[in-house]
Amino acid sequence: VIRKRSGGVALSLGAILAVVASSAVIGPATASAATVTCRGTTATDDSLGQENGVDYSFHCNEDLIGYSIVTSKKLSYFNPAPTVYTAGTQDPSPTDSFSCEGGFPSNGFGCNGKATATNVIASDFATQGSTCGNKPSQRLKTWVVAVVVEIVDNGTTQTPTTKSSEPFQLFGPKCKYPKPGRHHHHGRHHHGGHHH
Amino acid sequence: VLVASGKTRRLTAAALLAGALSVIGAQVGADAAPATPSHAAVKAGAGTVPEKIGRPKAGKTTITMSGSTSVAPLAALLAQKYVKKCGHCVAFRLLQGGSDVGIQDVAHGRVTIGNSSRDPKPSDPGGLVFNSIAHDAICVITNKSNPVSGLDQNGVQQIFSGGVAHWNDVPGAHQGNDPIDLYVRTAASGTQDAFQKIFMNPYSVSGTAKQLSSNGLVQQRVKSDKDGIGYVSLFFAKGTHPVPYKGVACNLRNAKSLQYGGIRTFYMVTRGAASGPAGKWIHWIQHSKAAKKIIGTQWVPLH
Repeated sequence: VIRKRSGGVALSLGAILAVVASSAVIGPATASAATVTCRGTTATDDSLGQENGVDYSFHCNEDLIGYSIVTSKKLSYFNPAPTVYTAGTQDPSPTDSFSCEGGFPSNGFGCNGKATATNVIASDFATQGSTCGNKPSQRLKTWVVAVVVEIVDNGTTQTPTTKSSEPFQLFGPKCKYPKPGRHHHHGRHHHGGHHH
Repeated sequence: VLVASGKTRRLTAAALLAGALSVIGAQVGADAAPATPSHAAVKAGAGTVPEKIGRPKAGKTTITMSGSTSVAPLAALLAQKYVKKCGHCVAFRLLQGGSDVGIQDVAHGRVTIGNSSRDPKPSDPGGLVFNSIAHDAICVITNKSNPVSGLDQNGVQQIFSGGVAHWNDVPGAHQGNDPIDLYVRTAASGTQDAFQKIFMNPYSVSGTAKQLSSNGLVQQRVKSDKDGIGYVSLFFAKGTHPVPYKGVACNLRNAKSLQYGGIRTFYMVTRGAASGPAGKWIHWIQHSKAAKKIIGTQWVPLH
């Protein structure tokens, strides 16, 4: 059960309604945003048989009923059948799964299904161009947006409400780039040899 | 909300009224929040994706597909290759939902192509054309700790109809007297239909079996349940023990040689004969070497 006080509203209501009935103040105010948080990683993977293949995995602190992956680079492919692993193990969850839907090419896709809180969702996609690019600013960025059902408690009723989270950026992928200046220096040295 | 509103009328302080109105507003907002979206609503929402997110350039055709979860992995790989081969001449949208959903969607004009992993049925809507694109093996799978050495058709029928309910009645099983946990697909599934037709006919799957909505979920259940048994598209057999059927292992080689008995056909279903960009794509799948190569990685090409 997720209960969240939205700061300003809760404070003003607390001051006002205390005059009328203290019990109303004790009850939580209306949640205004999803409280779920997610984190995870991406990694380049040449073993997928895909050009520019990328593995992604993440977990969230609430049960999910869906999620979206959004990327900074156009995707040429996504795996429509992710795997959900039981937290802390390499074992697939017996109850959790997702089916993914979206476009080719596109900047992301959406997945419907379910995952228990902390279970790890893992799958893969491929980018149209190089995943890393030639410099760090060109590296792929990936975000996950979680869809959850949270209980909105207005003091009198508790209503299950579907909510979409903020985008959480996934770490990675790790990319190797030539250090700035080193290549340039080496080139001049090689071609010119003026320093000698 | 109505009760709260009535109370506020009895309050005299303006601040109190303002505060109460804030509560009402917040409650209305919460009450108006949408419930879990239906599959149809999700689809409808997909059409509102902003131009910058994944929409093809103006004038470019988007081929939309929905349906079989068995066909989806293949369709995704074929779409990727075709977009590259044709110089981004089209874009694709891939939805799932099961074969019956795809067939209904294409019949009602909601998608360009309905992906189906089952043969046509007399009950299907009229005017549909089932374009075969590949063959696929359906594997009966068990947990890796229970490598059943083989089943014939009678064995499959006995187990999945519930006639045999414990593993000690199954030759080659390793689970002692444990009860057999049956995992099957929901009625909308083409895999369910093909399994019934190829393996079970004239018997039916036990009503006590757990019905799951995707190949992936059956795979995950059997992977994690030592007493589990189910059936999936060969693509989803990884991490499980595919049980040899009629003495033939369920693998790609035996599927391609047609020695394996559990083979079904994948279709891309169109309303009328496939034409335009979708027709070109289906023709490419059926006849190009590039498509054949992709299909041959985990499925069985038509020719």
